[in-house]
Amino acid sequence: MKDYVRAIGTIVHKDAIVELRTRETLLASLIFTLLVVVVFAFALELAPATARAVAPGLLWVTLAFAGVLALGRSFAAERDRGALDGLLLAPVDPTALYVGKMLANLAFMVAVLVVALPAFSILLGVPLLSPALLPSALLGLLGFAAAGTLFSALALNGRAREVLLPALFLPLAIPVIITAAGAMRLDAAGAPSGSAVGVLVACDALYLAVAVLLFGYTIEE
Amino acid sequence: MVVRKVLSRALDIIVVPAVLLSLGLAFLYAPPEKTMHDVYRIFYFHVPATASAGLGIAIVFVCSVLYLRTRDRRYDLVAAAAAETAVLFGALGISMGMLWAKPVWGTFWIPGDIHLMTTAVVFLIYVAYLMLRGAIDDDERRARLAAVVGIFGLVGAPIVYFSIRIIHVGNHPVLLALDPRMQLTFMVCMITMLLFFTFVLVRRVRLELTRAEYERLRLDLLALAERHGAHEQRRIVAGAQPAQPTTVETLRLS
Repeated sequence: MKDYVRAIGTIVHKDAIVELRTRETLLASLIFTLLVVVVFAFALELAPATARAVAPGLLWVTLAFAGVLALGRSFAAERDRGALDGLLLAPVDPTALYVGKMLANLAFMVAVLVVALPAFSILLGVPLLSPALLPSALLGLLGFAAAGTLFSALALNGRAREVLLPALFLPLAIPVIITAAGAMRLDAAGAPSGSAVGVLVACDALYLAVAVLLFGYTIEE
Repeated sequence: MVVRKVLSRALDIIVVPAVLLSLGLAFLYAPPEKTMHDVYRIFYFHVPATASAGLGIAIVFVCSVLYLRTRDRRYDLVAAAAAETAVLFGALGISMGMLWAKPVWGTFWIPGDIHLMTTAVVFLIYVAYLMLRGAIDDDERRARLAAVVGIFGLVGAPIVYFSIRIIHVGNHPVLLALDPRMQLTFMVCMITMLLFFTFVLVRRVRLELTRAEYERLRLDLLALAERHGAHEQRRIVAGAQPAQPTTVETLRLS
């Protein structure tokens, strides 16, 4: 058990170092997020009431696409220089690899969220940056990363993986996107009015469990 | 083996009369509906087609689990065939639903309706499943990864249903009070559609089996050809993979 946790920690640590040294994916995703917010703000010209109604949905659309960008890199980066073979040869349970990569992806998504929330709050004038909404946002990202990590490993093997990943993953990410956006809805006063957190937790648990069960099959070579 | 042949033959014989009987019942025997009059008759095909697609994705799931457990290629072939047939019947079911919706609801599609959204999302999952199959060349890898998606897809489907239920209400009709003649017609149409689905599926599986057999024979032939002097090509691979170039790779390179 201790080794298992240490293996997970090592993988997260490794991904963090790689990302912090190259900054290629994180920077691209953050700029992408800001661009999307600006485009939404200008293209939609939302009245305050409409903005309140649609902001959680817009936020999740942004997170989903920024997330797909990052997930596409997650395993592809391992594959490019043959690092994946090394990871698979390491004497640890393959599920530790999954959990490690999943946590790294989750951390990455949280970084995007940290930029997206204030950006949406300021540019759309919607108080999304509220502690009450944070649990729903994090739970949503957890479910997103849980399924996304599995599909990131899966899409590696096909031709045209840049197209394959969103096509495979987005239909299955829709429940998470919908429930998380639903849980983050605001009422007229700007207070959270969603009540979908239970479904979100169930969704996360199921996706995590199934992904852990299936991950071994996706990477065996 | 014999049993399977007899059943398959019986299916071939029974499908055409069953389709004719269903058409007769649906268009001539069943009475018009009170408010929708004759338009509702598409119901006898719309519901069974969608149900067949549901059966198809259940088969994909079962075969995917069996494939990962046994690694028997035949399960993968059946899963592939079932997914394709399910997508076909799903597309038919959705299109018929849209045709029905236009005169009855006044619109082809209600954005946010729970049944429509669920069906569309699940449909897309299996379209992506077929995309994945098309994108991988290696047989074993394709089978294994497709099985993963086949399992995840069916786990995802109910979640899609419940998640959409939270924020949207449905107005998809559920016809409960059916006239006995309508009930009979519906039952016959349902059975016919399932038979037809099985018929298409069996054909599709047979085609896949034939294709696998063809591929095996082709490789045998190529292996034979190679033994008679394809040493030139072998050298190309030998540089890249000193271990042991397989016959297939050698010849594909040329």
